[in-house]
Amino acid sequence: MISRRTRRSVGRRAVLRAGALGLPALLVACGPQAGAGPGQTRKEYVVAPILGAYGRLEEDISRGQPLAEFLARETGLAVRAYPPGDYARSMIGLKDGSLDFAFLPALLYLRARDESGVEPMFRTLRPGVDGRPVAAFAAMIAVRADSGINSVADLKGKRVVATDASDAAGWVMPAAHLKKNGLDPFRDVTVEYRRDGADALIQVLNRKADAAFAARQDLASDAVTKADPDAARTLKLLATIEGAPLEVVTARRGLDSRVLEKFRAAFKNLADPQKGVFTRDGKTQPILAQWGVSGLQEAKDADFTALREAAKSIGIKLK
Amino acid sequence: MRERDIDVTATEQLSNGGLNVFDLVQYRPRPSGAPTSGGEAGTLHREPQRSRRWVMRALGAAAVGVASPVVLAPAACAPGGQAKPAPATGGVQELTFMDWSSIENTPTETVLKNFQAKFSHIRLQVDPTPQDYETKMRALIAAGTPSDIHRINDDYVRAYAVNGLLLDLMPYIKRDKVRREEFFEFIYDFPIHEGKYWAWSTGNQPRPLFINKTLFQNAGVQAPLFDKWDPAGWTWEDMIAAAQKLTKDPTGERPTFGVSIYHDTGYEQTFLVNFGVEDGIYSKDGKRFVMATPAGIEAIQQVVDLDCKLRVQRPFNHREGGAGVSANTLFVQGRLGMIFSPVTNLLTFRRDIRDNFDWSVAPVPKKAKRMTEGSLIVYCVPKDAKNPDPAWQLLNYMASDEGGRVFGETLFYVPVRKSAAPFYRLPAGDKPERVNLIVESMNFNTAVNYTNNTERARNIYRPELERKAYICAESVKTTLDGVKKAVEDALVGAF
Repeated sequence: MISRRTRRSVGRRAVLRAGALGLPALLVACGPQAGAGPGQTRKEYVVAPILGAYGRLEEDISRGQPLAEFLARETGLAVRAYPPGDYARSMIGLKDGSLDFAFLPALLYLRARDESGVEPMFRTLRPGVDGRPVAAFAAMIAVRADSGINSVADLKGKRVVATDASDAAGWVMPAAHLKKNGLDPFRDVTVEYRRDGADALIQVLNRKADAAFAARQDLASDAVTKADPDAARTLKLLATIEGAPLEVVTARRGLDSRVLEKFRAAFKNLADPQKGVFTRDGKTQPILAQWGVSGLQEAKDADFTALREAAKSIGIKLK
Repeated sequence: MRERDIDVTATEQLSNGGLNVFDLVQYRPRPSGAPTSGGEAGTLHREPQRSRRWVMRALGAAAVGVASPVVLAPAACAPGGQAKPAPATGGVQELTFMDWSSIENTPTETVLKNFQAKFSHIRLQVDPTPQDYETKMRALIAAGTPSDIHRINDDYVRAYAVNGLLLDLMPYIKRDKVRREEFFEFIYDFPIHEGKYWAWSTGNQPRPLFINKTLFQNAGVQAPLFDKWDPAGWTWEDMIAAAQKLTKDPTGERPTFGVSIYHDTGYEQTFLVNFGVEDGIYSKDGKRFVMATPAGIEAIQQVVDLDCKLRVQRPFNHREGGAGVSANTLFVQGRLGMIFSPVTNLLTFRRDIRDNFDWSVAPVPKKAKRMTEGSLIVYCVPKDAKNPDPAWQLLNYMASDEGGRVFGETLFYVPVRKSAAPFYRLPAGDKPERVNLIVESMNFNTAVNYTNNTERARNIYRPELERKAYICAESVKTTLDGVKKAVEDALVGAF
């Protein structure tokens, strides 16, 4: 693992180097093409990677660069990574044609699917509770064992910490579980979004909140263990909801089918830990590992039916 | 508000729960109408610590249960911005509000409570401020589940707008016959793009100089004590001369510095314009990085040289005894002669500065001009907001004389409505002196030209300046030449 300082430095260099290479000019020439019809090819294809916290452009660009280089090598096409800054703009890019491929949180894939007809290609795999790659997390609703909260109904009027409005495990699935049990997650509880699932659990451990929405493996995170080595006993689970999908590799509508197949093969190889690697500062590592992703699995829209229904149940506008 | 990583501001301390705004300001309720010169000490009713949501719901509780299904018309705004309650003929309307720092015990909460009391048919819910606001706000918008009102960085409004993420407020403005001339025009105009109105500002936090009069006196230097923002004299050269005399032992263990000019967007825009770079950071069309032109580079270099050459400015990464020491801290400790700072810090200074020195507000030094850049307080209604009508109603109320009076009297910020701006003042004898200059500076405001990709551009050039030019490792020209192309590519959305 490279140090933070090194990574930042590399990122900065990458930003400036990419700018100096004139890559943007290519995008201007070949990028947004309103009304791009089915089967159209381009001189350059643009991929939006998984995005970090807002404002960490250097890191996003630094991580995206080896991804683009790999996809270019594999497809024989010009490929550029363009982190748009936030997922709303990833969705917009897929719609207006300025992006060809994007990693989206599953909920936002569903919205993009409805809005602009994007195609799901792959879903990400991340380490599950036992460390093995899984395509979906188990979401949970955790409270302190000594809180006196014994059921979802007891959460009425309580303070809940969640992770992100677009996160299936850290918001949508647990919120839908509340709804299913008679509570409106937007009105009957007070919701505060925290950095991630581990941080949400820590808020509960520290009695700053009554309940946390998180993924089950967040319980075993270093941060949680540090906050309370006995967290698994201090907390109790009011509910576990299986099947919270992660990110989806999406393709915009209208890509040439041969191009699409080239990228499909390239993404498949990207997920191969032997092939999808890059070397930086003398260290070789899987490209996807930069985002904590351990693999990719082919995806179809039906894989996300449960999430779609859950999201609709809490009022998210979806077909 | 722009960058919030320079110093811990009063607002942020409030959000951290460490401060109560009423610990920072002397709240002196006055009779309605124009502010008086004196003001009597008043008793503030302080509620027990409860959640904001609880407070708002309790205030709205009387309205809950009103069964009439009639849809309410938003309140009209009378001349002078006096919001009138809507006719009590309707049912309950929902409204959610999210700010980027906690509003608990702030004037914003007071204004929201006043609004709730006045418009009891609206059930206002203040959503908790998330950690990492900018990321979470964007996630809420992407998911299609935003609050009805969000605090938004004024620099980013254009990008949100051109991406179709915000609601156009122009229909409300036209319907309610909002009159531009009643507002500070530069604020009123900023959200307008291609005939649409994308956000709403309730006020401004200008950047004056705060000066330590006692340091000036002890050094035998004439302090820049003026009753007008743009007096004859008080030039950039005058400021340097004063700073040189005020600076003591700059490389020692406990130095005193003559001046500190924040290295944030406000300083960039202010001193570019004051040095004659008319457009400031970006060109009017939002496509060129004007700071990286020869004139822009020269202006920034002049500011950087206050430290790197003249050694009269607090170094960018100043540390003492192994710990970073902010400009605010140095000023409060009486070891900084002049600080160019947003008025957000006025509350902190009033709380923390003891009686060991005297201090005042002063104009910024003049070069070609004497402008100053303010941080606008801005809110937006996302496109997917479920309750846009009451959202507009609240925003309009916040900008009314009633709302502005609270923001002004507490020195939270200068209200957007001209008629409310005079509420921003202190009684004679209170420190600092010459707070009136802050209101007057609203007429000398320079605003950053808006671009479609300001945050992206800033994320490229600012870190380079901070890691190179600002620490005197290389010239401003070398640093900005190195990023100019990437920044301009970013501005046009190509990088």
